[in-house]
Amino acid sequence: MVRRYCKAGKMRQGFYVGRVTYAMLVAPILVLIFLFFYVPVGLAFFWSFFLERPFGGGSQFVGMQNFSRVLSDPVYWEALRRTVVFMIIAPGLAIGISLVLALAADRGLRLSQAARNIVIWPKAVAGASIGVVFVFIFNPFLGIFSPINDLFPGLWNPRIDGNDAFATIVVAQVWNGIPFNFVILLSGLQAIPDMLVKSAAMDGAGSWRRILDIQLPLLTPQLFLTFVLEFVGTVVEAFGLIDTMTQGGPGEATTLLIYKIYVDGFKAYDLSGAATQTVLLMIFVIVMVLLQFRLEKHVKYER
Amino acid sequence: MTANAIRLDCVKKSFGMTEVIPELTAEFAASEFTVILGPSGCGKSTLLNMIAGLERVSGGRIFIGEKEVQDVEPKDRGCAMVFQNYALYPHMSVAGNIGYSLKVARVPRPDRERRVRVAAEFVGLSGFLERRPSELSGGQRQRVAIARAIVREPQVLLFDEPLSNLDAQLRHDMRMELSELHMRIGATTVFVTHDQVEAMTLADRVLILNNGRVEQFASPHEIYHRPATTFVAGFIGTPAMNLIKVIGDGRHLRLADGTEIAPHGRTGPVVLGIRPEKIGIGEGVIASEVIYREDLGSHTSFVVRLNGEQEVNVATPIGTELAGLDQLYLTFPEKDLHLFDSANGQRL
Amino acid sequence: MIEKATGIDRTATVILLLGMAFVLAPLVIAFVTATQSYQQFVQAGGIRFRISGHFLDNIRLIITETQLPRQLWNSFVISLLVAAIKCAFAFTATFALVFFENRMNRVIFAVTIATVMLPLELVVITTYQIVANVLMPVNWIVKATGIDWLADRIAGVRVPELRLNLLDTYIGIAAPIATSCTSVFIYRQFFLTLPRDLPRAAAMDGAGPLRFMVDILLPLSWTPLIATFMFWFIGGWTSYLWPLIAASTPDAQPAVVGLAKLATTDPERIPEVPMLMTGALFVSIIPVTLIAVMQRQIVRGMNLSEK
Repeated sequence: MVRRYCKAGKMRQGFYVGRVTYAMLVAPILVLIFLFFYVPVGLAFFWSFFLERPFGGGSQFVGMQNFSRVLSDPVYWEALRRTVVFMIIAPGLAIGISLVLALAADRGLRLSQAARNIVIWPKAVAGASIGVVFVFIFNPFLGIFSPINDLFPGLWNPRIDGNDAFATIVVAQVWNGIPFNFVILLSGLQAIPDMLVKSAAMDGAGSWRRILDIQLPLLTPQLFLTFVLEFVGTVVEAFGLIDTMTQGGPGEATTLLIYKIYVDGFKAYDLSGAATQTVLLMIFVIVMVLLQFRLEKHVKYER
Repeated sequence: MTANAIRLDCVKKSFGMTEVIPELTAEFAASEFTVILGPSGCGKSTLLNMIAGLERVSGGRIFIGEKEVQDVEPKDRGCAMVFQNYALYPHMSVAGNIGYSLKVARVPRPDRERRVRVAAEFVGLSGFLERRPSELSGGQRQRVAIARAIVREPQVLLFDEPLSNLDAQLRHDMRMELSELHMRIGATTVFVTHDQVEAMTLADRVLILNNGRVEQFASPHEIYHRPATTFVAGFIGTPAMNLIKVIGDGRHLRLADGTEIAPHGRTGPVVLGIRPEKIGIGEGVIASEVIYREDLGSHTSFVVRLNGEQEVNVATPIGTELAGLDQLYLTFPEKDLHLFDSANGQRL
Repeated sequence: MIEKATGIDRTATVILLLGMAFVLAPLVIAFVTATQSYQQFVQAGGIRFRISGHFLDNIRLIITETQLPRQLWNSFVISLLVAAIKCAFAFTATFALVFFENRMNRVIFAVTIATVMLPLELVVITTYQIVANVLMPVNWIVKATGIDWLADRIAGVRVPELRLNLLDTYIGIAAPIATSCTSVFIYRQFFLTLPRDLPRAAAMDGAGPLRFMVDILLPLSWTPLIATFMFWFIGGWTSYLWPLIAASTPDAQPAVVGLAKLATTDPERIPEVPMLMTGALFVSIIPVTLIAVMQRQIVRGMNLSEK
């Protein structure tokens, strides 16, 4: 009869046991996230099934009516389509550029130190602040493209052309999105053991080869992380840019879901409609995140 | 400094459904150096933590001196402990580490500084009081941990595998220092280890623990020369005692196939134990085939096979060398045989 | 690197130069324009790459003619609150999760980490409702448990609807931004690297859990604490959508919102571009300086490579 003493599970066992102290320590964060996270999320679900009576008359249960109203609105689908397009283009560009920059900065050149510092700066600039600058830079009459417009009038005008406007938002979003991806990818590159790169060199792989065969594959976890964060980020971060640069226009060319929710909720006072769209967007985000985490199992390496 | 005995009375410990220590009763005499020795996972660290008060007992009582302490806070038990990885506070200086317990106990600063100096001097660290642990060598960190333990003048000193992170030479030096330290301060000392050399060299008495049960609790000499169970016999000595299943016919002990091993009056199946260095070589009667040899300079060590299957360790006496033989003839002297019950492993 | 790879290194240098140029371009354009006066700007008919001498005039304009100085102070207080709440609450909670044995550990960890999945901006509509009356849940409890009915029946007392409006207040703007519990994750990773026996050693020295937290864990955690504090400070400073909604008066708005309002309330004439550019630099200078100076500490302390 052999009884073995197993160290409990993977979770490290805590040492202290006092329940009162424990409760005291976790209470602040629990109250905070209950009040300002779980209650709002719950309320959004609540209002997606209820209609606010006019003149402050409380609420009325309407079942799936809000959903059918939102989902039968072509404007909603247009905004969703634009959001998806935006979510593909902006993170793709931001991560691609960051990756190239990180690979370059990882080579330990004289310039690397300066680049590593400067490339991070946009993280500290609010989208709304840089939006104010970009709207000037891209102004058809005052900005950098005004000489082109002098030659070919009307070639560039984000105030009239929806595609131009969309492009300005993308550029601004990429500018804002580079730092975080750059930092994650660069620290991922630097965590790759020197031995691996050296042994690849011994195997006769040249510099370009090593980037493709060693660094990129070993960077997959970080690349994955940047995609997860960027997808969630772009859904909401574009708001500051849209609000300062295009106000969703021209027409509705830059009205992404997050902006539409804001307009419906705070400009049109359609609480239920906005809440319903919020719920749909939350589900969308959660599904994306969960999908990505299902994928994650395939990209983790034991280092 | 006063020293107190530690008495464990039917102490039990289980984590959920796993029983780590079924029931243990033992007494560690005042001022004695006791080593708790056992393989990893045998419950020895748990036992030490229960004495220290870092782990609650699931049942039973613990006495330090006359005081029943199993429900007393660690700081009020008069124990101090040295941990496996030292567990020094990385952000505090050596003086800060040594004096922290006094600070918590609100000992006035001048008094505190004096006691820190005394403790540091005691372990030879006077010149290092302002250093950080990260600036010290492994041996020095060990000494800080010891100074931190003795600064409160504890009645009981507990060590949790304190030497396991040091290299071989340092370990040897620290053993000497610990032994000397024990003589000088004379606190009741309990030392947990899985290293038999530490146990044999440091201990007044060794408690051998296996699966939470006491296999033997005796002096190192007795543990080596009269192991109480096959577990102890197989655990102590390098290489350990040979354990061979034999059958006695009243005049001789024989292997299963009838090969005669040694004269003995016992009947029935028993486990025969014999230390490698006690086996006689050359003039003997049992033919064996050499399958491996190691020349260690001082002596030669063999692994041989009796009768095609039973492997036995053999060591020549110090100072003798044997040329490359394929066969050895062995004798098992009757006075050096240990017999154990083949069912429960107890010494007969 | 191992061998000389001039070709690839040259390419890398060009890439880095281009990257820096892309990052710096809007800031440089903003700065150059900020040095021009409105007249110069109108005469030039738009963007002009010439540094002029009117930067201080434009700054003076910002200080005297706009609410930005006051709003800069708002930004500062709000960002401090966000960072302090995020760090302090997460620190004590993570301490409990890692160093206490409790059946609730797993649940509480899951509940906190789930907040990372949904950014605040998604649920601003209903966050607005709760911040407009943070005692709303208490009212629900009173109703749901029938306390109001009991009080009415037994004592004849009408339980009033409790109301506490935090809109337009610092705490009301900061608290929802501080809900995302990424810090819990970061601190947990860090605590798990500490020696297991540390709390035991402290216990032998007579220090209980709180004493251990303050005397030992806190000083050891300065690196991740400072890094996350800076990071959340910048995060609070740059947030826009929620403060835009939660602060209705210019007096309560943070600088980023104030700047955006300044930019959008313009009539049809040529906008006051030099002043706006000055404003954009004015509201960004504190966080950008912070990240430029503390870049190393922030990146190292957040330990981004190991997530």
